[in-house]
Amino acid sequence: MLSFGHAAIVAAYVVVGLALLLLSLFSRWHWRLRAGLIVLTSAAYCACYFALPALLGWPTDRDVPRRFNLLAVYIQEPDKRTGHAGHVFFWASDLDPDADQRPRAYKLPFSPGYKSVFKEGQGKLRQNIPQIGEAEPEDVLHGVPSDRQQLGQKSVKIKFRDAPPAGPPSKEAGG
Amino acid sequence: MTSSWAYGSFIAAFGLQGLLLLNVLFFTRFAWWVKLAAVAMVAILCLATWRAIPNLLGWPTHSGFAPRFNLNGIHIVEPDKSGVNKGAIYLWVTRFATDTSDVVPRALVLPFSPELQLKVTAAGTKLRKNLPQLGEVLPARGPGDNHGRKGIDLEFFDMPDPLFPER
Repeated sequence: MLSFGHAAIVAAYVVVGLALLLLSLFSRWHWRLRAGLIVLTSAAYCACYFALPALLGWPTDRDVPRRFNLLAVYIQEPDKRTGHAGHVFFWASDLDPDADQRPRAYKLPFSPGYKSVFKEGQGKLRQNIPQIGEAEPEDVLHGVPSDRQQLGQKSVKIKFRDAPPAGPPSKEAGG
Repeated sequence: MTSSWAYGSFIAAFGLQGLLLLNVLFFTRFAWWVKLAAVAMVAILCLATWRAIPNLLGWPTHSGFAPRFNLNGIHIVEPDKSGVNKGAIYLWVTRFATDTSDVVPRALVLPFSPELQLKVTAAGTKLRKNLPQLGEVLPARGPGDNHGRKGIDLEFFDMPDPLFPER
């Protein structure tokens, strides 16, 4: 399925191609200049094509699902030596049946609150107790973030509960 | 390739798009409303692309396996009998490094195979028992998948105890 992300990037490619076509047909430039532009644009296409996979797989700081199945946690404590602010990374799949069911990686800014909540969830995962996460957006602003890369990131309140035990399949569903 | 390289490429592509637009504005004889429409279209598309990039983040990728990595999590989707869902093996890994202060985990996906499932499940079980797992990428044995991507094989090892310098 073509996602919004892929569709927008493909559309941008088409616009660049269209602009190049117009220039090539209707401008009075020397043919060498036109050929150079075509080479340059093709190089830009290749750069974008190879740049896309480099973006994939890394955690996102947006769109934490309202209900999710926690799969793994990775906590990175702040480092005073390097000045690194630290993050709480987690890997989860959305429990909304209409959402993409592939697991997605998320990151949150490090805070002692997140650390304790996620540590507890991680501990239960290691005991084979599946964890359901619930995220609620927090409207309260906690001042300006120390890390400017976190500007625009909405704060979320996350809590975990044990997933209910899977019962036997119903007769209607089982067939 | 890092994600900053990827962002740099996109910014360069935006720059080129702007350059082409300037050329259309100043060196062609289109009506003013065509030029205005071109400006609006390019502006909207730049914005749409920039807003689209975060939607691509977080999802697993087929490429980007480091030769050695620490396993953080596994998720296995088995193929269904109808053959519609071919299954997948998802891994969440960090590159093998002694200094982990700037390490960021990455989500990866591999095509499902029963052999790999056995290995990954065993590594996942050890991981839950607090035995950190080191993964190693081995050269492909099979012909690869339908998209021409060469398959890879993985081996997992218990992470060795930290080595202390000799006195």
